[in-house]
Amino acid sequence: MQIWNFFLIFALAALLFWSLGAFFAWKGKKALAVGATVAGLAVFLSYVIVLWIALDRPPMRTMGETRLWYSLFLPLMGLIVYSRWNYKWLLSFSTVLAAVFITINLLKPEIHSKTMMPALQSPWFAPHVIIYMMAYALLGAAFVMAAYLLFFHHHQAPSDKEWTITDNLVYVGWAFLTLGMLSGALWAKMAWGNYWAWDPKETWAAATWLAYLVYIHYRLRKQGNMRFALWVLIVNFALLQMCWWGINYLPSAKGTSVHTYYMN
Amino acid sequence: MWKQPYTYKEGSAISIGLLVTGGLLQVAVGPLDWIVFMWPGNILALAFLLLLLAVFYALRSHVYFFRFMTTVQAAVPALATAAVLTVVMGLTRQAPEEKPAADVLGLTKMLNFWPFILVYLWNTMIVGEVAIFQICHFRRQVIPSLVCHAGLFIFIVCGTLGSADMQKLKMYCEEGKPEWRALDAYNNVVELPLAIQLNRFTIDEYPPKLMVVSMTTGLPQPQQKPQTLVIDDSYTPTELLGWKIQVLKRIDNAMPKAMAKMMKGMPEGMATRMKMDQLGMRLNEGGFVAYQGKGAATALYISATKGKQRKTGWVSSGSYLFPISGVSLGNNLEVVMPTREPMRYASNVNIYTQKDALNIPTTIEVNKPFSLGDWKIYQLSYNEQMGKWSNVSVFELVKDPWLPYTYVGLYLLIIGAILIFIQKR
Repeated sequence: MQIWNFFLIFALAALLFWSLGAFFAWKGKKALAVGATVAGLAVFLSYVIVLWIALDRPPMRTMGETRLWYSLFLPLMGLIVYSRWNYKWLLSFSTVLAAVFITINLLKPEIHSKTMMPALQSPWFAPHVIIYMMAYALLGAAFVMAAYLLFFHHHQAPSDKEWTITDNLVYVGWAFLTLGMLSGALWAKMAWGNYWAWDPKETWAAATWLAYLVYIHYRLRKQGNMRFALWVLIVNFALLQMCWWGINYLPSAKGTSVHTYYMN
Repeated sequence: MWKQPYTYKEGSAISIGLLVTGGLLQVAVGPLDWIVFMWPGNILALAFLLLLLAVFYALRSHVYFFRFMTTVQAAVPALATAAVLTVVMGLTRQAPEEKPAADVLGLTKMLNFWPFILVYLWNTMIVGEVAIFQICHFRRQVIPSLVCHAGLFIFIVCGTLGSADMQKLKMYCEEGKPEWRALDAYNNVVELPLAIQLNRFTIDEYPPKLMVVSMTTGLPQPQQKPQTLVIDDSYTPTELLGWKIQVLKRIDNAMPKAMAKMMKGMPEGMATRMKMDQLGMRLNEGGFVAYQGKGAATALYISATKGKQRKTGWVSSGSYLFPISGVSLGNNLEVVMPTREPMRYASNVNIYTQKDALNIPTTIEVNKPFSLGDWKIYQLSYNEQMGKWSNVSVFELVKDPWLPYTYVGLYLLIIGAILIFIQKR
């Protein structure tokens, strides 16, 4: 696809804006930080739209395409959390994480063909994937918070504000996870006749969903072991990666999962 | 241990106890066969479960354990154990429904594995009991949590118990012949109160693609990042591995000339059984001609130019009647056309019902099942070897009498998730 060759330009421009946003956030210039991040989002989103039109189908089928959405939603989540709670370092983290996924896409673009098998041609396709990518981005941000509080900030106990941010990211992330999973169930019923078939992807989705419920319920009592709660988020993020792309490499899922559109 | 109030220790001990109990059950009675929950087994089990939860609630003030089961200290270890078992399930290749477990313990049939079932049951009971508690101690703030708990409880209970009543059958329909028999997962024949007559099976395909493969390895080139050309209406001559590819002629339904000549005047039954082999293809000198019968495939007459070199020839994806045809570029490289990918496949059918003698003409396609009474009919497959000329269409017929109740739970959980999302914290 020729359109893919333009990705570098859009990606670099978006990353430049996001880095500027992170810099301004660090310097405490909120208006500039928000403005630059929004500009970066606009640039990146316009590429996604152009790709959508060029492919003549939602760009959500291949791994590379879902990474594209992830790279878009991460700074968006960063921006929402930053503008709500003024957390100055969060934009730096979301930018770095987005840069990682953009780099993977540049090094391993994967084939972007126009074809899409009949099972994917459904009105459920776009909402299902977008909701899931939102959930992954929110829970990715929660992971960033947990990693920061555990490894970079460990000399002092997390403040109430830091807990509020982490909890809220998990609550909202879990809500999106639930909606993604259930929209998938409704779609599966339309496409395959069964809303839940314990396909490897579904099994991992269930495990991840339960694992985030562990955190949510553990945090209902505020006086527990808080390092444990943060470690739960670290482990859960690993489960999330397994569910998203790890199963493509898992021997137990090879050839049995109906969710392997990614591989060619 | 076991001093009130209980902590995570006791909560974890319960989960471990369930794993051990499950293990013993697995050894003693073998894996659980869900068939015992077929109607009326499931409705009795449901009634018993609800009664149990109601009794637990009624005796809350007398029995500490019934109070404990609605606490976080019970829920967190239960959830964690369920998550771990689900991860184990994700890491082990699960055996198909109709086959026994592939390992001694039974981990490859997790859904029939007693420890897994007991832990999920414990979670379900906690969820149900919490829902009852939240209903009886109703406050506005608990609405999102209550809707989630109630929805999840209904979804899991109806989905699990209802699965024993679910019928999932495969019906193989041949063009022109009404079919009323179908096969279950164990290949038992089931006669249905409805019949399906396949009138026509059609596939719409994506435009043909060209690529270069290495004849020694069979792999598309360049190996790291295979390149393909999509030959649609807007195609203009493009380079493929340094060769400029021009399409000089395009026939969507084509046949090798030698074969078309031979098939002329031949009875259809015989013609469709003819096959052209590699040798025949090499002897075929007249290229491809248009052919409107079964077994035709797309053929492109192309030229490939690189500097002063110029190669021309026919490229075709081949069909079940004749092999693929490519243009050699030298160096063991060849331009070929992979089989065209299906964009949409659909069956034009008439469905007859036994009871009211209805005759319903309709089209069934992927993602667009047809509902008839308790049955939902899905487009499942076709004769893939014959591709778009398949005269067979495979349908899946699903009857799930518990589905409406399961969906009540599912939609409640969706509402619950939305409420969690918009809840003020």
